[in-house]
Parts: sequence; structure tokens; C-alpha cells
Amino acid sequence: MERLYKLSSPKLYGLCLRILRRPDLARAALRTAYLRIWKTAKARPADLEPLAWMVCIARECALEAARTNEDAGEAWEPFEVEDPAEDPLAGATHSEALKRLLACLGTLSEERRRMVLLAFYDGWSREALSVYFDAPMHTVNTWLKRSVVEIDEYLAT
Amino acid sequence: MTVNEDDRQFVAEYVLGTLPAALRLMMRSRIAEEPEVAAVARLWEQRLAPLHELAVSIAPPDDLWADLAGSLSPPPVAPPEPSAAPADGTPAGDTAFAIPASVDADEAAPTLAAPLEGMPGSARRWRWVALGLGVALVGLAGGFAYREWGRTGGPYYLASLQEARAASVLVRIDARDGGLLVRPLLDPAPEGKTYQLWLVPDGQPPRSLGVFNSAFATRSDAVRRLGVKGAAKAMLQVTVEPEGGSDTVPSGEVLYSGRLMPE
Repeated sequence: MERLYKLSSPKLYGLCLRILRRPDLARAALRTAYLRIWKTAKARPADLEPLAWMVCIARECALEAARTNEDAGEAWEPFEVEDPAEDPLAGATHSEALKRLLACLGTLSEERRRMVLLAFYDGWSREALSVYFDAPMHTVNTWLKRSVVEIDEYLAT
Repeated sequence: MTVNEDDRQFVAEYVLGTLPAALRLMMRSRIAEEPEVAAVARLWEQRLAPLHELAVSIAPPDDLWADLAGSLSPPPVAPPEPSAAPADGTPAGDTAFAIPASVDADEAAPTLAAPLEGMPGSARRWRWVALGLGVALVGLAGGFAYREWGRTGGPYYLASLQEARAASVLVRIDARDGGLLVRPLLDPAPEGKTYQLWLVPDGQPPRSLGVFNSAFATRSDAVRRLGVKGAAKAMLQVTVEPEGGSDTVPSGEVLYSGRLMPE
């Protein structure tokens, strides 16, 4: 258990901190995530790689916290890390799945690709994206919808 | 049962993270309860998760492991490898996710639902409302009312941490077929009483949509007849009525009320 924590926590904490931007909230979200990981480990979906599954839970916990705290996750400045930790699980090469996804995202327009990445890494909501891209909410919704449809089509084949 | 296009979109955005709080709450509970919806969520998790490979790792606070280990009882068995299935552990506390009431409580007037951003012009068929009105909870001044809404048959618990005076009822209607989904985040009704949900179409008398003490789903002709245009102008109200509910008109005081917002 401790080993699992030691190996995975830098990755998961990095994701939480980037979404929440506040160490206290990121810590709380990560704590919730690990409790949930241990609690639901038995029911872990067999078709999801273990680290990917943990990443999903950590993001979910961070996003819940971000939507709960109005002042969290609204930082506009780029995420900068002074002291990145060495990731024990970092692979030398990117996985095939990532390459395929990046190729897919490459087919989206520049703006919509950035939108998807900002949502994934920075946890930005439709509202935040609307402010950042200076576009009305319904436009953002339409862009997101088209992105989802196009990713769906690309990856379904 | 297949998942319709609208719902597939919501699930994808749930996983991506762009949904506002109230929609997240609803999608979360549907993923937990509907296997078909969960399968779509799993698909999108599989698709998007590889992005984590490009994320920066940061060392978490040093004391977090000790904190977590203290929450685990009995001491769990260490897994052989992270790439193998993680060993099961039993945390002492429940994992609770705090989701705020989507509206602020107001002492005097019924508050409108939190503004879920709409898609003007297009006939969005699913409509939501989050209703809220002050409920006094003695002895919790400055604190939080803690509500837990357990679901049967699953390991998930949902908590809504709200201001002491706040309570809410989530209502989702489908203006096409009259589908109605009600999820109360309330204290149980007093002994011998029940909550009753009323639809108040524009300029017309209230019609009962049913009595409830817990979450329920049904289909209602009154909702279907309302249509998309009628739904935008209708109000929803919750009263406390004697057991069995009131047949015709609300007899109790309106506790919660709100307007339907197009998603």
C-alpha cells in the first residue's frame, strides 16, 4: 500500500495541484482520492490500466473540490512548477494510446484542442473557458460538443 | 437501454471536467446507478486518461502518507506492484464528496435555481432545476449541515455540505415524454407527514407531481403537456402535506420553490 502511494502520489498530486492551484485543497483532494482508491480497488474496472484508473479518481476528486470552492481552479496564469518531482512511474516513451489520442486531438482546430487540454489539465469549466476564450457560453458548449463528436468518431474506428 | 446522444455528451464532459456543479452531481449519480451510462464514462476515461503521461509530477506533502495510513484500519496488505491490481484496504472513514447546494439559501424569498448556462435557441429538452430555500437548523450557526444520501446497493455515498440554513431538491424533467426525476437533499418529513411536489404552470393552479420522502422517478402527463415552452415558464414547489398527500391543492406552506432552467 505504501509502495503504491510512493509510486503514484507525485503524479496524482501534480494533477490535483494543477487543477486546484492551492496546496491545502490539493492535499485534501488527494487524501480523498486515495481513500476512495483503496475502498474501491476490488471493484476496479478490468479494462482500465491501474494508473489510469487512479488518475481518473484523482481528477474526479480534484474537480469536485474545484466546483465546490469558488476561488479554486480559477487561476489564469500558466501552471509553473519550481520543483518537479521525479516520477517513479515515468516511462521513457509515450504509450500507444497517448500517441493515438494526440493524433486525434491534432485533427481538432487549434482553439478546440486547447480547450480540451485546458479542461483536462487545468480543470476549467465551460464558464472558465468562456471567459478565457472570450466567447459566449453557448459557443463554448457548441465547440465542446463538436470536439466530443469528432474525438468519438476518430477513436471509434 | 441505450444512452441517448445528449447523455453521451454529458458523460464525455463529465469525464473531461467541464460540467458545472449541479450537472456534475446529476451525472455522477447516474453513472453510479445506470450501468449503460457508466460504460460510456469508462470509455471516455480510457480515451482521455493517457494524457496524464504528459502531466508534471510534484511531491505531495510529507505528512500525507502518515495521515492516510492512520485512516486505514485494519492495516492493509501491500500490493505486489502498482501495475497489478491494488490490494484492497478498508478505510475507516467513508469517502465523502462535498458538493455544494447549487443555490444559496435566503431567509426571506425563494431563490431561483443556480444559473446553469443554457443553449439559447436550440430546443434543449432536458431541463433542470435546483431548488432551495432556507431551513433553520438549530445549533449549527456558522457551521455546516451535513447530509448524506446513501444509495442502495452501491459503495457510493454522496454528501452535500451546505450552509446551515440550506437544503435543496434536485428535479430533472424531460419535456418530451414527461419523465421526472426527483432527488431530495432534505431531512425526512416529520412523522405522519410527507413532501409533495407541485407543478405550477404559468398562470394556472398547481398540479401535484407526486408525494416523496426519498428520490423517485416517474412519468407525468402534466409535465409532458407542458412542453418545452411551458416548462420555461413553470414553477416547481415543494410543500409538506399529511401522509398520502393533498389531492387537489397544496394545503401546507411552500418550503421550496424554483424555476426550471434549460440545461
